[in-house]
Amino acid sequence: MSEIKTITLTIDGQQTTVPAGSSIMDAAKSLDIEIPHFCFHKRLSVAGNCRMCLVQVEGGPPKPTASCCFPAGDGMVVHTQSDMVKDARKGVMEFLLINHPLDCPICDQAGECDLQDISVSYGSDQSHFAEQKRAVEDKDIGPKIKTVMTRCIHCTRCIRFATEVAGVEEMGATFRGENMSVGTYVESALQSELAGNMIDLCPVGALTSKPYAFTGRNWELIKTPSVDIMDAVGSNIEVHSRAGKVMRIIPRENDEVNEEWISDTARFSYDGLYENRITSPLLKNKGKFRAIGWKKAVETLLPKLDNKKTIAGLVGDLHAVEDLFAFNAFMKTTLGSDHVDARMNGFALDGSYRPSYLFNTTIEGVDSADAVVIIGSNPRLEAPIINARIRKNVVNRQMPVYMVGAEVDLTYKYKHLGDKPENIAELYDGKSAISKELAKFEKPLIILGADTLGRSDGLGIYKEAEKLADKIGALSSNWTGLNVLHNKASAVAALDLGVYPEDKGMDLGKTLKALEKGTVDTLILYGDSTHVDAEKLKGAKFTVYIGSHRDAYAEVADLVLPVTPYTEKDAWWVNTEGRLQEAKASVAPLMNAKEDWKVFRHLSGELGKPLPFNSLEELRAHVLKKCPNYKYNNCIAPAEKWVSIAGADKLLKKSFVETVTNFYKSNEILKASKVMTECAESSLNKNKAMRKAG
Amino acid sequence: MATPKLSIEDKIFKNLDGSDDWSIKGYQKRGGYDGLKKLLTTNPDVHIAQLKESALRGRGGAGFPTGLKWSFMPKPDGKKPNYLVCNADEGEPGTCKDRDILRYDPHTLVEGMIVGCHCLGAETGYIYVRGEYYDESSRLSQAIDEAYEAGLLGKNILGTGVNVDIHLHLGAGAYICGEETALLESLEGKKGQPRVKPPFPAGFGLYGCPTTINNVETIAQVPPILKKGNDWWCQFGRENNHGTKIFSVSGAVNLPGNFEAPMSITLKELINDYAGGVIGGWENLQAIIPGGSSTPMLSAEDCETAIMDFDGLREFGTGLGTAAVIVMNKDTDLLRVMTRISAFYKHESCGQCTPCREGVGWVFRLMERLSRGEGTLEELDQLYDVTKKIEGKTICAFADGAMWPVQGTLKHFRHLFEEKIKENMKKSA
Amino acid sequence: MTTAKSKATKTKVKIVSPDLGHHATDVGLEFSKETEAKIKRILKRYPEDKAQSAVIPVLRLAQDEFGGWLSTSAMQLTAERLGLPYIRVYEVATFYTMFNLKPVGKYHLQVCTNCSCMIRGSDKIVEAVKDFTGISKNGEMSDDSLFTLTEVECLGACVEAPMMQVNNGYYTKLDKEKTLQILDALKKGEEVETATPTTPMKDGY
Repeated sequence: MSEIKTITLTIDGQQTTVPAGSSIMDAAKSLDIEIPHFCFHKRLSVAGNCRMCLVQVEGGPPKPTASCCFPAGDGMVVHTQSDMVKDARKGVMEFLLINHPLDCPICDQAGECDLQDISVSYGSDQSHFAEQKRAVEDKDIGPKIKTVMTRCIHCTRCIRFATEVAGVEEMGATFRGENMSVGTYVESALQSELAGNMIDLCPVGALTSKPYAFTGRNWELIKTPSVDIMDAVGSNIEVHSRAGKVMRIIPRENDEVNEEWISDTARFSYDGLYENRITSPLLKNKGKFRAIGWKKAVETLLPKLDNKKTIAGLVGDLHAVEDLFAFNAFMKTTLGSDHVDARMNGFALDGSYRPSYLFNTTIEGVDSADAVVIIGSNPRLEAPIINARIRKNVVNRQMPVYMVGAEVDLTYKYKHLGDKPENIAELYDGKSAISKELAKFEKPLIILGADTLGRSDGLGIYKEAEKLADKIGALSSNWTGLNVLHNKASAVAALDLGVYPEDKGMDLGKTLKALEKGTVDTLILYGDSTHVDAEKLKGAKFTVYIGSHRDAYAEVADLVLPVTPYTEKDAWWVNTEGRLQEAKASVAPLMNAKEDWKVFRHLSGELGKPLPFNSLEELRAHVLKKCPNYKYNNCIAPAEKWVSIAGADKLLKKSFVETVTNFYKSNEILKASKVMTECAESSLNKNKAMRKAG
Repeated sequence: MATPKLSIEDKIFKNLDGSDDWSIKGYQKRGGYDGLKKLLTTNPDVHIAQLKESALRGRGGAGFPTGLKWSFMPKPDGKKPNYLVCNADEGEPGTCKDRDILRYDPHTLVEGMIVGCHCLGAETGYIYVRGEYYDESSRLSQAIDEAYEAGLLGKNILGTGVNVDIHLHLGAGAYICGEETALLESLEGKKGQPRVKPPFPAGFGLYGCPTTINNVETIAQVPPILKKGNDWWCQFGRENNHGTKIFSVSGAVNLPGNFEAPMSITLKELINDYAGGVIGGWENLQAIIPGGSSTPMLSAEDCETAIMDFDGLREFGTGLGTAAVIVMNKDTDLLRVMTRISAFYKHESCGQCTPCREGVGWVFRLMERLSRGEGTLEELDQLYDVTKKIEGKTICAFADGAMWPVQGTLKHFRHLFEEKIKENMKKSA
Repeated sequence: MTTAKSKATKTKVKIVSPDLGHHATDVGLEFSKETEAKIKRILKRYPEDKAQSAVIPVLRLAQDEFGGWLSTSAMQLTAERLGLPYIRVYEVATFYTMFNLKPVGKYHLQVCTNCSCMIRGSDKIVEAVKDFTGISKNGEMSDDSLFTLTEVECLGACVEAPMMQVNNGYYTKLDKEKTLQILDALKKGEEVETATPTTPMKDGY
């Protein structure tokens, strides 16, 4: 029997050729023929349970066929508009509606509801149902998702998502028949970092966003394309705003980055944009801040920026490309100080060789890896979206995963091979069983945690990983498998742009020592970081904090200047792969906050050494000059030839530690968010049902 | 022309009435396990070819040709095992034939499993017994132990090199697990929800491995067919409906019971000559459900001529199903019985797919209401309409089976509803 | 065979009411040694990585051991024993009708009221049970906690209708009189022979 590679069939009189193994629905899609459906979702397993996608196949049994799960056959003749199909759709629609409440006016899903849309297009205008409707009790499944289970149409998308993608088997359908009910059975908060995606997947209003509940209507929202900055994945998002306020955040589809998922920190943290914000410049007087005008603030600041003084700048985790560039230029050109560092985790490498600090394989490239070695990282919490990709590969292709580092639950099984830097050598020594096992893979992928490279032996660990990569074939001509996984949105851009001492300036470590000694005149804290404790930042004669949120760093400052978070500015962002993506401003800067780069440009002018740009376009032109790779907007720069970087390879005996200790509180926006606080609290009571990995 | 009753030699289930010893001793005395060695040393392809020719059709309800089903199984490739799974999840109302096989003649099934596994290249067989059959399972499990002790199960059976292990698995109360893919799900420790097909179990069955699922009676019939030959088997019944068959006759008859009889026996013979006749006499007959609750009923008039085989009953718009004959005489409240059957389907729907989950309960409620006369004549049409909206739209055949008896009732006994409705209207007027 | 509940029930075990949300760890349920041995044997029936297959038999053992019904704690214990997420076990426990999700009497009287039994007078059996036990409604337990009445679907003994199942055993070809005799004997703690006398399965299920 010869293998058939393609299949040609006729749908509604039109011929189409599709790859073997395609479903009838796939084939219809190739002809732009719409087939209504509820349970089918392209990124989930096929369930075939809603029966909305029934079509007629000629020559088959005299009943309609579910197109989502029935394979297209060569020479098949399919009808999607015949009377049989229309009747079947009407029938299924009627069954779906007999027990669905007619509460669209008070349902948050209204206006973006598959049930509404499909009902209008394919349903009947009346029902014959004269019996009692079913009512189902709602369930409390935590602070993220609100349930109205009477609306559930039992498509099981949420269950399949939790089981297949999120890897946290929490959702299920209990009981049977008309009593079948979707939920967690025993009420417990969902523990997945990706749970919010169930809201998007739910085709009706059964699972809706709890924080968004009753706050807005879909059709009154302004939708702005943006990029998430809660981690370094660069998930594509859409920020929905109304009357100048962010109302909610949902994902945008990008197969190369986040497919169509976003982490719960990306989705639910937007209330943090309005909590604990700095709304005007603040000046400390007798230990208390009071609001002042920008003019007064600048007047206060200028004398402290005299270039005879020792001025140091430390840069936080959530800055856009343009802002980083402007600050770096302000420090180095205007103030003439090289004491600047954005590597708040102490990252051991600088930006001189780009592939040394990127996720070179790319996020999409994870799909083609045949083994993963994780060193000192917890991708589940540092990059839930990338972790879901790894998991997909583990589930679908039984890809093996190895780990040197703290033993954590990754939602899939892995082999744990120790938690000290010295264990890495065992993986490539050529003698151990494990090194032989690793040598046989064609596309091994190594993930190095960025924070792990921030240890004092970071460079040594990097060199070990490089040796490992070299020995197991992760650095071949067609496969670059050595990757650094960053967890902060501005980490890569800061390295690209040289936001660290490029001459003889003080890096983070030296600055901290200088602060201890009291030799810093002015400390500029640009943004917040969870890596360095605010206590260590006391000690400068004058400290100015430039940021969006009034966090611990603000409290140690003498002067505070309000700037904008990511939703309030047009900006470029670079993710852990080195991918540049553009976000648009969804709303205007809050009250007296100003766009960051404008603050630095203004100060430079006041100091008589104006930065050479007066608009965002001019600024971007300078950025491009510094980083030509950024011309690859929304895609990845071509791979460079691998160059090994020189350095010491001292290794400490110290174990790798858990890199993320509080996922829901890992930056200033998350810290400010009340929803994230609730999530952090509910995740402390971890459900034991979560499988222990290993 | 009367169909001759089966001689004891021709009966496959010689102890179906439980009068003899059910253990291995009794079974061997009755000729069981004779010639097993020869069957196990013959090439499976020869057996499957013979089964195909015998026209043995599955005894579990659907009547699919067994030889053909077995020919779908790939040869074991050394990577994935093949499995034979016996469906003993007998739950179709009216059906209780497998129960008597399990408790009175369990070794017929054990021998069938050994031969079946050999034919299908399976070294492991599972027997999925409905959870309520506890005592019956206990008997079967003792029978399996006896077979192991006698060297009839395990490694290198009778020195033939054939290895077969059989495991018993009890369910926990779900009619839907009689659907073969739901049964596999249940055997895998999940809810018994039917899988979408394709893929079919022969390619992707238990644990994703090639699997064949057959009813107890079917599997037990295989060794005698292979031993005695197709000429013997085909002397019973008609073309394409050959062999012997157990009929469970229950309800309003004088001597209800399980009877092994030749296929294609007339219904009237079965009732009168085997089951002692209708209570109150043949004239007192109201209707008969011929093949378990899922098959539409026959009117008393149809019962005069109906022939009990797959094709014979199709002529009357119904089916042989599990050959569970439920007799209702004129003393039976037919609408109440049919409403009870509707309630059964509402209770047993797995809830997976829309038309069944939502529709079967709707149909039950309509049946309940209309059988009390509460409703309108138009609603009788609506009831029929709803059954048509459900039929043929679902993942498995459960919903079809739930709708057919309702359609059968409307076809033959619509007047009973109408009388009730009119009566009720008069009262309220 | 006896219809009495497993003797393995430990008196010290605290059973939480189905006030959902209790975890096994809060209660400290444990399988007895005998049950654990049975579980080990049951697991041998399935391929090594397919412990999930044992969910139904292990839940049935749990039900017998912990008072004839499944508390969420018992379900969670089963899940932990088999290495499964809780929800997968809840799904199974709530899907199959033989799992009791609330306490039942010492004798669970399950009377078939489906077609064949109905035609042959199951109404009278239900009535007899109600009269004898004082239970007024399907699904209720008698005041003395000895009996629970459940009307059930076809139990596959149609040619011996009407019939009822008491715990695991069948009593068939019933009439009012025979039913009352059986109930009376059970109440006195006597054993009543079932329709298919046999010994219990060595692995329990």
